[in-house]
Amino acid sequence: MRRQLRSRRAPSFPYSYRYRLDDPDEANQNYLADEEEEAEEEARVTVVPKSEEEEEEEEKEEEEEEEKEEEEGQGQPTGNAWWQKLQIMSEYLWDPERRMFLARTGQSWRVMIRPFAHSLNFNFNVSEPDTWQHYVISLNGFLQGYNDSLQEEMNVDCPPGQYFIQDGNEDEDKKACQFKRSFLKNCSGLEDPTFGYSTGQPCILLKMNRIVGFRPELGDPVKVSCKVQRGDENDIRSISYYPESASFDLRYYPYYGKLTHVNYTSPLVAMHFTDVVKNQAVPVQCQLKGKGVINDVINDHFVGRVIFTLNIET
Amino acid sequence: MTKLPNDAFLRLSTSSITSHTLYGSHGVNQASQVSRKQSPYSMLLSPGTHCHCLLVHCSQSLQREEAGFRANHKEIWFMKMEQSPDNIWPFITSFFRHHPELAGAKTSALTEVCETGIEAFLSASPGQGHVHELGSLESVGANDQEGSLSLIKEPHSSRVNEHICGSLDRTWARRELAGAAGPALGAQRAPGLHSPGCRTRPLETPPPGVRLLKGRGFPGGPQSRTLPTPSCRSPSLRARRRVSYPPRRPLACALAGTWAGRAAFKAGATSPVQRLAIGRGGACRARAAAGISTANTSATATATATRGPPPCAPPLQSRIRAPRPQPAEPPAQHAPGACSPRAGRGCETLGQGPGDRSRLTGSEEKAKRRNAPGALSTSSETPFGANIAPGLLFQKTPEIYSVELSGTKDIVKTDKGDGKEKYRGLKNNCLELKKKNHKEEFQKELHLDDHKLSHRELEEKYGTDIIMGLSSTRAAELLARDGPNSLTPPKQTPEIVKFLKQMVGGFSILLWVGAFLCWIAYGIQYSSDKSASLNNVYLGCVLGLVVILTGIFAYYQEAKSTNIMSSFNKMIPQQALVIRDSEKKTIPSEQLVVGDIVEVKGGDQIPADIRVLSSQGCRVDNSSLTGESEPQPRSSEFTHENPLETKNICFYSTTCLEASTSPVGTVTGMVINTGDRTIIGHIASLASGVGNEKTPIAIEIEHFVHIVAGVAVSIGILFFIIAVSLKYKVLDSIIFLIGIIVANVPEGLLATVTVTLSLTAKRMAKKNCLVKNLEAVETLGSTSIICSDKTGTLTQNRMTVAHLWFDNQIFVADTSEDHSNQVFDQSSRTWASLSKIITLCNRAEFKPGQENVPIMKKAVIGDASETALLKFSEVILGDVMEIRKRNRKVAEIPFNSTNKFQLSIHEMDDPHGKRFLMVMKGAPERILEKCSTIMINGEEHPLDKSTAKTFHTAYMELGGLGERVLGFCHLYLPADEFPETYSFDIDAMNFPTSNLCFVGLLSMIDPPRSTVPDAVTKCRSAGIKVIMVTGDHPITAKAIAKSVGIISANSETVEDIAHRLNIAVEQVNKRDAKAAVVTGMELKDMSSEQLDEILANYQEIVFARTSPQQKLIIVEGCQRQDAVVAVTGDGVNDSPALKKADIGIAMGIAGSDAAKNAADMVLLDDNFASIVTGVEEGRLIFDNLKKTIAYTLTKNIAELCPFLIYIIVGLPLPIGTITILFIDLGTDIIPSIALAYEKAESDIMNRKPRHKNKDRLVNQPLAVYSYLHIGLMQALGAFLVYFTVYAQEGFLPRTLINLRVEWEKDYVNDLEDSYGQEWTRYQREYLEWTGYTAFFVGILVQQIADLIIRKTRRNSIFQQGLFRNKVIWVGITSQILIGLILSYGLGSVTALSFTMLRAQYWFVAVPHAILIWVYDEVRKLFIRLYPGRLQPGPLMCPRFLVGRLWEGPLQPGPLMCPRFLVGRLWEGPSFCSSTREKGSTAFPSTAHLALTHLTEPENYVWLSFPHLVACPVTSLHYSLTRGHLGLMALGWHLLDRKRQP
Repeated sequence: MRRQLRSRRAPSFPYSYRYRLDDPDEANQNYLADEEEEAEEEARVTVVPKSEEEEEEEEKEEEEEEEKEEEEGQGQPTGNAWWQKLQIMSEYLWDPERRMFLARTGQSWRVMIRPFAHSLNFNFNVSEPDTWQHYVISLNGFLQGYNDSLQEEMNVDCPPGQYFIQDGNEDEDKKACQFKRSFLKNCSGLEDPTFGYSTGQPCILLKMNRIVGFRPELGDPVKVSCKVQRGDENDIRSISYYPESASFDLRYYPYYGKLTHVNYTSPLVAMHFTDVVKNQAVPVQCQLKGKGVINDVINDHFVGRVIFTLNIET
Repeated sequence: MTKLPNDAFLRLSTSSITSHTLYGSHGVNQASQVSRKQSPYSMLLSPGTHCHCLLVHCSQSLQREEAGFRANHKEIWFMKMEQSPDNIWPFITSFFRHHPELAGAKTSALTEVCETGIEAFLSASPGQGHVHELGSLESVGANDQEGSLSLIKEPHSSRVNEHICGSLDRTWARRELAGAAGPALGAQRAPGLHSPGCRTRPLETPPPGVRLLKGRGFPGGPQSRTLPTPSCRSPSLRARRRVSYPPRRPLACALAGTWAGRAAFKAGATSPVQRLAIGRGGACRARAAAGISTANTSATATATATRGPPPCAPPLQSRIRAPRPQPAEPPAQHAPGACSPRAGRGCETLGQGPGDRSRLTGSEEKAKRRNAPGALSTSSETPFGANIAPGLLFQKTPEIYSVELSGTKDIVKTDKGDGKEKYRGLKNNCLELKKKNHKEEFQKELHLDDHKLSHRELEEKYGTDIIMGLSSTRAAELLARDGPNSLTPPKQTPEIVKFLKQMVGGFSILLWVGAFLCWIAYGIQYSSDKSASLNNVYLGCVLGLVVILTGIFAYYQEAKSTNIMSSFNKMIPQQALVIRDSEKKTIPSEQLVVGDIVEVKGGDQIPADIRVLSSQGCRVDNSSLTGESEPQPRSSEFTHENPLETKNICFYSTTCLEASTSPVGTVTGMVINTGDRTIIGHIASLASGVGNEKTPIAIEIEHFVHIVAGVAVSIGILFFIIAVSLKYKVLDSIIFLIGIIVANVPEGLLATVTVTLSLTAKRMAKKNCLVKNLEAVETLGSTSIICSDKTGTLTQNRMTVAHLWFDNQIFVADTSEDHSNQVFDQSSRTWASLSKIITLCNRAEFKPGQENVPIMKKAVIGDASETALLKFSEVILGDVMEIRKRNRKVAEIPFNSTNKFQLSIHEMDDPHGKRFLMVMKGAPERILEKCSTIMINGEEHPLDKSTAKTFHTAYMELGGLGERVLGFCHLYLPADEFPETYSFDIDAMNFPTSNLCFVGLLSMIDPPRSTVPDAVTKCRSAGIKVIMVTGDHPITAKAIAKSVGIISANSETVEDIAHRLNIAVEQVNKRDAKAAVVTGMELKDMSSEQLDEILANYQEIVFARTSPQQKLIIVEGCQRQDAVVAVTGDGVNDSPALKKADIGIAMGIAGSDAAKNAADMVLLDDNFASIVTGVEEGRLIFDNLKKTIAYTLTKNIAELCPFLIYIIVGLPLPIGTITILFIDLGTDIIPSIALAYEKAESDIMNRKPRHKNKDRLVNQPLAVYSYLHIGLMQALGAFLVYFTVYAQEGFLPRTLINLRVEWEKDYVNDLEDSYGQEWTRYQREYLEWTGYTAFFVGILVQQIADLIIRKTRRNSIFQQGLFRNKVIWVGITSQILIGLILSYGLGSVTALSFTMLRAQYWFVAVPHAILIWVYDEVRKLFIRLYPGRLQPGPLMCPRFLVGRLWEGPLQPGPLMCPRFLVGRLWEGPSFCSSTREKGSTAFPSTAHLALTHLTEPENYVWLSFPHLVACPVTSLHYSLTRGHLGLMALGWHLLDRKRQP
């Protein structure tokens, strides 16, 4: 499995090196041009393919395996021997593609929810629209970009269950897969414009932070599951997930960055809390579950999970 | 006739002085006056004389009681022994004959008569007096504190005399006898049996021996110690007479038969026992009077001196008519006014009465006495009072002298007035001293006149008793009044306070404030939000830790520096032998009080300032005090007005080397000053009072701290206000404030400076300059005046033969240290003779066992000049001892001060026949007097006027060189008159001592060290003025000054000019003279303005004959000239000046502890030349410190900018406060210390000393260059790394602007970057830390470049050598290592906010570092190319640039202005706008300033730096890098143009 991944990554592997080698010419040609623009361009060129998720607290996962991979990597023919060695060495020090430092990596999912609430506390009174109206507005606004018409117009409908990889020139605009608002069914706000807030069955959307070039493990889409964080499990008696798979489809990955991947639409999972105990704060933790998903980092509460409270008054 | 051991107790007439002359010269009236002016002792005493007259007295001791004082008791007591008793009588008779007026003045007459009477008794008694036994007072009724003492006298007194004299010798020292000795003496003097006309009754049963008992009558207190004392010297007789004896005058000489030890009289109850009772004190006056009256009424009256509190309340009413005992020596000695101020205090009364009776009839007597007050004067029976006729006097001499002691309340009253007055005086003195400004105090010459006083006056003054000492209670009172006899240590700040001081000194207080603000901020945050981040707490803790650590470090440094007082303390003797309550006691010397009688043995340290009362052969080592290295003789004679020079005062803490008093072997003295009032205490207080002057470097650093702290606080507050007005939360603003302060404060600098200084100190120690006070290291470098002591520093401190004169010619001898090269003509036969005299007429010898020691270093027994001569002849002639052996010495007269010559007679080893050769040396004029011929070329020529004249010319010339000249002559004794067997008698002088043959002169001097002239020249060329300050004679001082170059060869003093032009000194234009020799006497009369004038106008100054105070004045004068003054010295006397000086330099070998302690630096080899190396090091360290500070300051801007930009532009914070601390205290410390190892750039000894007010350590150009040039470039570079990191992570610089608010929101967890990625808060925080680390690395890398450029201030790195200072590379390595450790080792510690930085970020700032280096090289190039001229043309060069480039050689001048520099580099605004026009806004303006502009084609030469390619860089990086390269290229380009104009 890993080996496969590796080989697939290979083509895009040495962006930075290529760039570096090319650069003098480029620079020579361009140096009279305005510095800033140039810089920006160059930055774009450089950064886009490389930018991945930020280094995170070190996970020491499978270090041995990684090292093995390094050894294998030696065999790859990329230019003369000196460069090759240097590359390997510097790749070991810092693998820009996998963002591994000293063969360690820090990639993981980070998620966020909508509507936007300052402290991730959802307090509202069903009978007082004023208390939840802003959630509705927020959601509505957020979902504007997901309107089916817009999606259909801008984006392509790509096959589910696999990465939507678009090779080609760095600067080339990338296509994005559709994520229609209607995928969210009851939580799309199309049928119930109050997203269930008026009935005490609030919808909350879970969205993954965009990370350029990030790809979840193949064939194993990550599922979302919510439960009461502390206290009585029965405080939440039922949750509906939309799309029903409760997962982020692979076709929405990788993300190529907003400069080229202009219309990229983040996939969402909507949680519809259809039966929650009222008049009391219920801490809810929604976790991503799947192979290799980290969801218990202490420092960052948004790695693979999100925690919020629902306090629905009637 | 007994040899007196102790001339202080025994005031004697010498054998040559008859009683008559004694009286004649010190007769009542005249003498009292005379004695004030001139010490009587000198007349009376002469060493080794025999005892004719013995007087013992104890003066009253004073007690303080409530408001006033009173005299407790006062005893007078004396005796006279004459070889022949007959002598005394005529003496007494003639006395009264000569003073008929005494007849009318009953009281005084009585007194006198009493005295003389006693003398007569004593003198009359030889062979008969026998101290029988002393009984207790009990029987007399010692029911109160008063005691009286009667002395039993028995007729066979010669034995007594001897016994007593002998016992005095022994017993004074023995406390058991101290009490009883008095009585014994009294007793012995009592008999008077043989005085003509004296009624005496022999003891019936001669006692078996002398038994001295301590009477029980002395029981009670010290007051009851009833020793007969002559207390009443005070109201001089004259005065008394004049005043006609008002009742108040307690004249108090009561001879009262006081006590008779019962036992004593057991057997001899019927025997005529005389008692001597001396009643004292007003209290007893009545009684005394009674006693006297009884004595009067019946010659055998008894005086039961003391019983109960004296009945007479108005004490003074009772006048005592009893004869007042006067010392055998003229009353004058004691009388003059010593008592007068205390007239009220009891004077003694001498009552007489038969002891047995007195005892028996005590009560009756008492009763009688009560009735008798005042009657005495009229009581006709009084033997003395009534019968003034000499003849009568002694007929009625009572048999018993009773000494009445009193310590009663009555006295209080009488004494109140006087006592009060007196003590008020004392107190006032004390207060005055205290109140007086220290300065005034120590500059005031010491006033001490105790040495002029007679013993009596001393007793009077200090209320003590020479024999009995103080009473314990009295001593306790005095102790309470004066405090312990120890030097007050300087106000000792408790250690904890010192420590705390360090904790809040300097920058610490700022950091503390910061730390507390942090905690408060956290507290507020926490109260509103329980999950508030702990960052602020961490920061606060780190700040606190920093302060504490640096505080501990500084404290440790300070603790190491030594305390001035410690050596003074060391000098204090621990125990002292003191006479108190008539007993000898050993007490801790701290408990000594004024008036104590102490005894000091040879080898002891003197426990206080003491006035010597008696001593023989005592010599003290005063070297630590006065610098005199020879032991000083001490005796009780008053020899000099100056207390420091008179022989009768020994000083606290000096050492008594020897005291050969037999048999006890002590010096007895009276304590006249204790504790801080002693001379040494005075000096100690001078030294500590002078205080630690701040060293120039301390001032500089303080100045620097003030500037930096001021800047930090004002910028901080400014931005606090800005932040608040930008609607930042106040809490946040406070955090900004803290950040700004921390960024601005170079936390590590003070520690660095300390370490730097101590490194240099170590280096200097290797060069024999031991630096005690670290800061002094630099001070020496800025020294502009050196006040140097002469002896030992400039000179070798040993006499050496310098010149010879014979054959009418002056020859020069080699005076170098090894003496090796004697070049004068040695062929003359005169020299042969002269050398013979030199060799033979010399008592000095080498100490044995030094065969292998070079001659000049051999130790010699003998005085300085003889040593010089010995070594001189040994060097030239070889084995001197052998020569002496061959010419056996047959007779010798050693040198003494009256003869002023030394003579010896030798058997010649002349083969032609044995003759005697008489050789003589001595003061040239004395030698010449004895000569009739002179030897020239081996021939004897008659000594005529012309030869005498040449002699005088030579003598004057040599003398004018400041040399000690000796004349030499010889005489071959004719063999016929003096055959071989002739026996020479030194006493009889049976050989000729005139008509000798004059051979030659030889002069000696303490020659300068060979290294000194060179060192002085170096000082001169380094712009340092060398002033000689010496206690030596002006002529010598001047001569030495000339020979070492302190007065250069061609400069003249006013006197020289006057001499040359033959005009009066006043007529000389003072401006013509370059040099001046000022003596202490002249200095004394000078105002400070005059001194200033001298110091300012003369280049070459010698101060001679100066005192310690004057040294201080000179130093202050120099300091008024704005000079940094170094003072060298070695004695205690130098210590105030050493302390006062900006840098005190003590001699390591010769120096006293006090001097070493007061000094900041010790020259281990005592060599002046070491000072010069010290100066060099000092200057180097100043340069290097400047470099260090420049280095340290540079990064402050790079640390500060992030905060400013953070606030204004709203970037995520580029660098954290803690990270800044890691730069300041981590990576930068070792490199900045490494700069201390930098070698001098040029000959630093050829420039002027820095002006302490002008050449600051941190001046504007330095600050501007560090902050605004290099600092800004550094900030730029660091921002580059920061932006690179952020850009690489997805946040392009443009995005970052004003991102701060969103960035720091905790609930925003999907903040989008430039590439659409979304970041949670934690991710952002982590990125922020990465940014910190990146910024940190950026600064670090550039600091390496900074370090390299700071290696030199003018020279190119290549001139200086990149690798000459290896420590720099250690520094650089450490810097990188620490950086690596912080980033990769501690990257996971949250509180430190470091992350593991990608490797390539380390290289981002490298081009910038290179840029900095090139930039600085260019600057240095211009400074070198246009030293002092490089200033852009008035129009072309912006004013601000001129002089900014550190060190100021940049000077405006139209041609000189490098045009490219002007307007290109620094005229920012114009091209800032131009870059804006080009529409690039992604970078903060600072990063843009120059770079874009410089990449313009006309200036731009592309240089490729392939090695840079190794690091993965972004385009962002490249664009900036290109800018740097462009700038570099521009630099080179322009350099080329400059080089080929």
